[in-house]
Amino acid sequence: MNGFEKYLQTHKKGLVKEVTPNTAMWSNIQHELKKERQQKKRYFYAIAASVAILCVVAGSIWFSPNQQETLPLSAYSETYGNIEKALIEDVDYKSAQVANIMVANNYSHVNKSFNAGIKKLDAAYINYKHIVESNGCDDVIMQLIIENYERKLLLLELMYDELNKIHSYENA
Amino acid sequence: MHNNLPIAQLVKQAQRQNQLAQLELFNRFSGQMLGLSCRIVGRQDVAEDLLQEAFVKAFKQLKSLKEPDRFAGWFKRIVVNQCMNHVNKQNLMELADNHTVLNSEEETDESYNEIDVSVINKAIDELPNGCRQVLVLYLIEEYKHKEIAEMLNVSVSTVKSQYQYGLKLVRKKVKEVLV
Repeated sequence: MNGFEKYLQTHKKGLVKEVTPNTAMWSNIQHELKKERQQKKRYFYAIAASVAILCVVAGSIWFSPNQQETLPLSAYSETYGNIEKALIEDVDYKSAQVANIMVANNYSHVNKSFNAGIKKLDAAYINYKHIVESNGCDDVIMQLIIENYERKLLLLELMYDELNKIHSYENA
Repeated sequence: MHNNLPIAQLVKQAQRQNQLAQLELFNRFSGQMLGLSCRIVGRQDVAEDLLQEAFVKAFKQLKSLKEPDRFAGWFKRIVVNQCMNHVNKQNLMELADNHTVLNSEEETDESYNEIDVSVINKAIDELPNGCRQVLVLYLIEEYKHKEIAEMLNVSVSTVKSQYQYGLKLVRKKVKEVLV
């Protein structure tokens, strides 16, 4: 180390250079950090939304009744399981027709007696299902379940006819 | 409010996203770090951009700093890395041919006690890129030759020769002013 280098070493502190930054630098830094925080928030919400959607999808798969497997009659015999499935499809179709005409024409006040009948049939169906699940199915229960569906279907058809008549009368 | 707080406490508060603490850290370190950046990259506008990026990076990564009282060294490392990445990307490392100066200047017994450090600082600032970077990092920032060589992607012997070349140039410029 020569004399000049020694001199520099001993005066090192004086050789540290300071430059005042421009006034915009701090606000730029804050802006960048804010952007980062917002991005993190967006990621968090995106992940949370994805998890929620995943839960809903998983839940709907988990809890959705696989009709063929959970219908009481399918446990008893495949043939009656298929009959029950066909009856359910008919009931669903007719229910949708009734719902459409009711919602479109605001007939919610009409047919309260039909609704009460359908509710009773639904309650009876739940009881039959409990019996099948706990005691198994026999011909009597099987017949009762099929009749339950047929009555429900009949009620829905009557309900639909009556609503149609009201609709035709109102538009005549 | 934060003016008298020790660095470690400021850092702890800044780690909890306290913006006043972050501002105080900025106020305490920006001047020196901008001076260092300017000397490494050679241009104030570029140095300001790099320092701004370094602050953003540091505040984002501040939670990873386990020992808050080591903030100064930790942050300086971030600033130097930021600048060196720029130097390497822009190929700013000019290795000057040092043989002429090394051979023409011989050390004599001179007294340097009367030299004003501002003269030396000016001479350092006017050095060519390569030897200025090496001289600043080795002499003032106390990096080792090997560390500088790794940062600049050159050999240790190149770093040593650039340092010696820088010293000679500074001494020459200082002598010119004194005469």
